[in-house]
Formats: sequence, C-alpha cells, structure tokens
Amino acid sequence: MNEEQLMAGPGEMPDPQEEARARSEAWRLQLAEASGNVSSSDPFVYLIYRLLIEYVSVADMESVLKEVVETFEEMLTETTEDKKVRNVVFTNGFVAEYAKHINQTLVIEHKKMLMSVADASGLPTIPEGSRADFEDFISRLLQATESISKPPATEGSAAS
Amino acid sequence: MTEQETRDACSVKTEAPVEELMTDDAASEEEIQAARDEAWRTKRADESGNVTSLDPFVYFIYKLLIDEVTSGALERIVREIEEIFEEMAAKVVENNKSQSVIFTNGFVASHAKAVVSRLLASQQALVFKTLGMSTAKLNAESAEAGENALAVLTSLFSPKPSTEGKDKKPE
Repeated sequence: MNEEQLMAGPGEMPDPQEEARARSEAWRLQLAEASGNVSSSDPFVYLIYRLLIEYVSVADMESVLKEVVETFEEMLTETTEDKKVRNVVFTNGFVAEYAKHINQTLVIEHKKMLMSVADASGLPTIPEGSRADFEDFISRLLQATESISKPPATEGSAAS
Repeated sequence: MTEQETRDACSVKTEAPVEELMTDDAASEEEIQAARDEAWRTKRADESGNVTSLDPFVYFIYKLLIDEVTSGALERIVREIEEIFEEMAAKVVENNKSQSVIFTNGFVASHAKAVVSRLLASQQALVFKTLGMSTAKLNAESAEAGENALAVLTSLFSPKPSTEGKDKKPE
C-alpha cells in the first residue's frame, strides 16, 4: 500500500505506523531517485555502504583504504621475479581469522548470486578469477606456471 | 624471503633488534621505540598463529575491525547481507532475471563502489604481477612455451560477469 492509498482510505483512519512506514518508503524512493538510482549486487559494496551510513566516517574509511592500498603497492614493489608473492602477516591473528571469515561469508553470498544469475541465463559455469576464492586463484596460478614450465615427457623415456 | 621480512607491511621496519639498539649510543629514542614496537608486533603475531593473507579485502576488513568498527556492528551488517542476498538469489531463480539492491543514498553508494574498485585494483595488480612473474620465467625458458603459457594463464583470469539487471529490488 503506497502513501496515497493510505491517505485516501475507504472511510477508515489509517494506522499511524503504516502511514509512517509508507512515508519513509516514499522518502527512500525519492532520495534513491534523486541520487541516481545507484544499485549493486556485490555484498562488499553493500557492507561498505552500510558502514559509511552508520558507523565509519568517510575520512576514517579513506585512511584505512589508503593504508591497505599503500601496503599492497609496497608488497608488489618488493615482489620480484625470483621471489614468491609476498604476504601480509597480521599482528593480531585472531582478528585476522575473523576478517577472513567475514570476507569468506561475503564471497559465498556473491558466489551464490552469480550462480543464480548463471542458472537463470543458462551459462554453464561461473567464470574464474572474480573476487571469489582470490587466494585460491593465486595459488592455482602459481601451480599452473609450475606445471606448464615442466618439460613434456619424451618418447621412450623411462616412466617414473 | 624469511617470515620476519614479510611481517605486517604497515609496521615500522627496523634494521636492528632492540638489544642492539639499546647498547648503540648513536641510536635515537625513536629508533629504539620503533624497534620495541616491532618486537611487540612480532610477538603478538607469533602468539596468534602468524596468520597471513595476500587479499586486500581481508586486510581492509582487518583494519576496520582493529581501528574503526566493533565486531558486533560488523556482524549485524553481515547478517543483513546474508538475508537480503539470499532473498535476491531466490528471486533471480523465480523470475529468471538478475537482481540488485537500489541504495537509498546513491551518493554514498557511489563512494562505496569507488572504495571496492580501488581494492579490486590492488587485487588485480597482484594478479598481473603474478602473471608477469610467471610468463617472464617461462619466456626465459622458451619463447613458444612462454606464449602458450600466457594464453593459459590469462584465461584463468577473466573479469566477473555483470549482474546488474533491469529488475531491481529496493533496499
């Protein structure tokens, strides 16, 4: 029931709570439209949006982001061809495990959504390399390099 | 590369351990304090299992939990996400159309998208660096093998499909 229907009820007094909810919904729709109807199906975007709306200031979010980006830029600079990809070692491993768990939950939600879309559109599989299973992806990438770089078995060579 | 060298990249790096700096007259107060901080961080990391990650999204959530937001608040949002996205996934199957959340405040949502884009850029830079390392190594062995490997490795990394659709679910 929209705002107009509530305001012009058939001779009954509208429920104040329902009326307030309808007004609030109408306000939300108006603001969403005025701000460009921005939408997303990425749970991580939703998480950051909710944090920015209620818990973290833009400035604080920016300083966290700056630190993360700079850390990874440094990691990339220090990762040279003869060395393996560098890891961040967390000072508080317990919190890091929790952060991994949250990330995994968001990845699973994203994957579920992608799978639903793939099912609906008839796509046979989810393309690899999305944010889902990133660490697994890098590890497979390195493994693939190792296996490709192995010379092919020559005919007549002894089986190992 | 040793574990000590790869320790938390945001921490202050010191050349010498605390004991050496304490006996070195030329060492400044700041250097000694930095060494103490680093030793403390190393000990805490050891005690909590030397957890590592190369995913900027994990590091981002970690930093938020350490500095900005309580685990309770984060958990509430994650629960909300699970509920909303499960409902959306069910609607995709039901209506055969992709779904997405329309944000009440599109300006903030655009900023949130920009944040995710910057994190994704960090992630992708790592992928391309790894690809570069791999192909450089293979090219050094054989030009042909390098070319084939590049094709195989690049095929492993393809952008995620767009799930933006016409049918959208209001937040």
